[in-house]
Amino acid sequence: MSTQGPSIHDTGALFQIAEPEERRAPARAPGRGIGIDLGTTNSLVALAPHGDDPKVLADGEGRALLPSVVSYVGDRVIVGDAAQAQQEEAPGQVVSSVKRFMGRGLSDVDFTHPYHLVAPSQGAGVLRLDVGAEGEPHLVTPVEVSAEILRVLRLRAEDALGGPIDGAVITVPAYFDDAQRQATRDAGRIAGLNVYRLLAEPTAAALAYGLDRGGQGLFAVYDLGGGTFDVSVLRLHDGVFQVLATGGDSALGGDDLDRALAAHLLGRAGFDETRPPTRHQRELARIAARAAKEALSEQGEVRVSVAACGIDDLAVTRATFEELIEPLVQRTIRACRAALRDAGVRARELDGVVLVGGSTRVPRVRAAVEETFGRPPLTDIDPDKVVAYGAAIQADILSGSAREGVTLLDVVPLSLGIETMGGIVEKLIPRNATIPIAARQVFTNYSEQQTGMQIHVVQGERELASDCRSLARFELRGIPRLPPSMARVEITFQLDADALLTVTARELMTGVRQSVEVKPTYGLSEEEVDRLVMESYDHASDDYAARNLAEARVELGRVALAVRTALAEVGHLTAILPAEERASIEAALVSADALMREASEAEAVNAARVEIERRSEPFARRRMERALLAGMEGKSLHEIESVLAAEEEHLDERRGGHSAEVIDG
Amino acid sequence: MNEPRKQGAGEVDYFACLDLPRRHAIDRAALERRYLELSREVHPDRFAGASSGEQRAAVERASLVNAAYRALRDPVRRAEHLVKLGGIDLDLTDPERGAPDPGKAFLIEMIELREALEEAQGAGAAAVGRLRGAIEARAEETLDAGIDAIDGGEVREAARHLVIHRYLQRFLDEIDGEAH
Amino acid sequence: MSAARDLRGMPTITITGRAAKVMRDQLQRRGTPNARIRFGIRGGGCTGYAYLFEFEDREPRANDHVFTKDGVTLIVDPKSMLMLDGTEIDFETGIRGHGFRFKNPNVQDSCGCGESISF
Repeated sequence: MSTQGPSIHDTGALFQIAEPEERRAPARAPGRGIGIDLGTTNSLVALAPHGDDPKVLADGEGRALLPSVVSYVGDRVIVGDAAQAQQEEAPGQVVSSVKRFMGRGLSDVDFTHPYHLVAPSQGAGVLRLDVGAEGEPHLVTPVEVSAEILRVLRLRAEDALGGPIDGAVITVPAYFDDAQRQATRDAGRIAGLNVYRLLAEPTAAALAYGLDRGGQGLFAVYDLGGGTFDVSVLRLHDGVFQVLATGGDSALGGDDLDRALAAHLLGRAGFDETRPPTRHQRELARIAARAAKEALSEQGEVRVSVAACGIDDLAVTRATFEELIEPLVQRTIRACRAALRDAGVRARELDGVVLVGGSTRVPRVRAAVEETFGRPPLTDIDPDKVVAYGAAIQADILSGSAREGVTLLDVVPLSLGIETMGGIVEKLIPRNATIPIAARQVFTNYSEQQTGMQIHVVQGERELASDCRSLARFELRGIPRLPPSMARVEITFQLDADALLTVTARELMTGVRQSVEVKPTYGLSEEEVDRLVMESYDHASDDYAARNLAEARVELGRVALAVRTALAEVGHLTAILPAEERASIEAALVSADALMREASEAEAVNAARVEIERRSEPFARRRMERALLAGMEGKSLHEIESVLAAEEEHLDERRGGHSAEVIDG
Repeated sequence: MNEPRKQGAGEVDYFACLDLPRRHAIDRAALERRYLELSREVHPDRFAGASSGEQRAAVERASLVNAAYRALRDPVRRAEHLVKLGGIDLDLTDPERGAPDPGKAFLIEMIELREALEEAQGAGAAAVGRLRGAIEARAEETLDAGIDAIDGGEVREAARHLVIHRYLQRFLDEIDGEAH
Repeated sequence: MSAARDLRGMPTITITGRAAKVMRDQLQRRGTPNARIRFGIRGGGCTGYAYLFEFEDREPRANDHVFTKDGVTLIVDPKSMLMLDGTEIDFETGIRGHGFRFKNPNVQDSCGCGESISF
């Protein structure tokens, strides 16, 4: 009770002067809310504007799943498939499964990974990954890495919506603790998102399924994500989704199935303690194992080759794989039984069991779920997308659209408490309590000499604080000198609807109110988040400008090429193009060429394009008329109509976009 | 820091919060119905577009509704809340307003039960199971006696039964904790 | 800076110099240097009351209480005045950010965040 804590302020809340009700801008933008499934392996963004069915947004090449992989090779940050492609050559500089590091301290990282970790300087604070090239350290926090993924999804959604988005619902594993949730929220802020809500993944899945099925009944959701496992038991009635209990393991997921198989492959290739694989080899084996796992869901045997590990055409049967993963599967089943018990529900009372996550495609996993719950699981919604669908529905509701209201009553997955004398945890909020919820408790001094009180906030089910997750430590000072047990300090825990905790304290005897700064043990400080948010604004405007310029150049190039093609084909016909008009168009093309080389701003490039379009419009019209006339000779009415329709489409698409291919003579 | 104590003043009446009569026997269906109704009304998601002050107020109202539901849904917590409303808080050590002394006779009984547990653990799982069953029955009787006392308006007597019930429940949790 | 009832028995609100300066500054920046600030208590619900603190563009009503400090005008409605009498408004800066703080001697109990109060 003697260490120096952060400074104490006098009382509770600080207020700002608000605008009066009638002057407040509408706080929401209906239909502009997005749902994001920020997964360990893959991430997705979905939209369900104005009560529409949810749709997952794909990138320019039609890919909906964005691999949650961020590459720091070279001086550019790359996210997704392109980053994944660089993983083999530079595993230490390409971050995958960053979700496993979110809100974690060095001692929590007990899984294998290819990264060089840098511990925070004074025990507390956030963990960093060194993703620089050899001899050029480049430190990033897991929160920043996640923000890169979120930023790509945000841009994808902005493209789809044709403008800025209002806010986002980001899903988190139900079993995420306060630090992990806080880290996720911070990542959202750094990515420039207004985070409406953090939504538990199984709850999101239930929302997608429940609305599909009339929204009544008892459901269990079995969610085996890339790096996390969750199980939730929910009751659905009259538009209320009530989570009765949740359980799981935030350090067990589909990746562990891959790792188990990878360890087996390396073992068969002759690696052991005396001859351990390099980090690089381990990573390559893991990538091969994942592919093998996926293949084994379809076939009974697969052959694996990893040259760098000396693995050559090694046969792995489904039976071997199932044997390897059985202990992991059993861990998930134990969590399912515990969740049923906590919910006070028997397996046979359930109306359905929902599967979520790509690894639930593994036949052994499906069979185990079926055995446990006594019924075949529901799989009619794509297990990779169902969470994003639910998030999009909730985002639509929170954006203020007219969608029929749904109320989600979620729970806190792990108990919250305070360390008392002897390292024993006094629980203030029990696990599976419906959120939001508040609890307060009074603590006393143990000696008259005590003028400070060290408060240690922990989360977990164990009796001893040292076995629980440390969320924050702070010291209350200025306690009056009073006989033992006379000084009384009331600690209040408030959990909001995101299951994020706020702690306040006040001394009751003197009436002096003290609010305390709770410094998260494994989180970014407020200042760090603020700095990163500001930096991302700087980057965002750079990124945005660069992207706009690139797009403007492409457009200008396209229009200029189309006009030049048309000029080359029919430009000599003065009936279609009078000489002075031709000169005017050519002048515009010349200045466009100069801008293509020199322009640094999208506006100038766009203006040049508009100018070409304006000057060439009469030419385009006359050319189209001619094409139609030419086309009609000797053709059926049907053919003429389809030519007409095609031409109109082109016109709609881009005014002045000259299509050379319609001209045939 | 010493053991926790709770402040007794200004107790919120959870029964009033959920529009239920203040007594132990409750209509479970009415409790569930009212809880869901209120949840729909006060959930913070309903105030997503409101001012920050209203949003915070919604968090607090919803917190209260959730706390009330949690307390009233469970027969033990419901009984303890009634005793609290009657002026005795089992979480306080205060001799007047806090948990009453369970009595010397009961403390002796607890010591004997611990000895019996050790003996049963030596004899195997079946013996532990039998002892557990007996203690569970004793806990239920105690809770019933507490509820009868509440219904009869004898708050102090009810509190004494409920304190004993807490000891027995903790003992059961310990047995279960060691089992796995 | 004690916030006691003054000698004539009139209700008081104390505004610290620092708080007045920030209020003036914010009115300027809003482009309405002559507007007022309304301070009050909004009622309700299961958990009681919450503070209202906002810009006021309209003239004070007949029975509103009007306080001035360094050119800033603060308006309190009579019902709220009963629960705000003696309150000191200060402005603070800290790690968590900055804002106005209300030291209200009438408050008995407050929720964790201090936003909701009871009397």
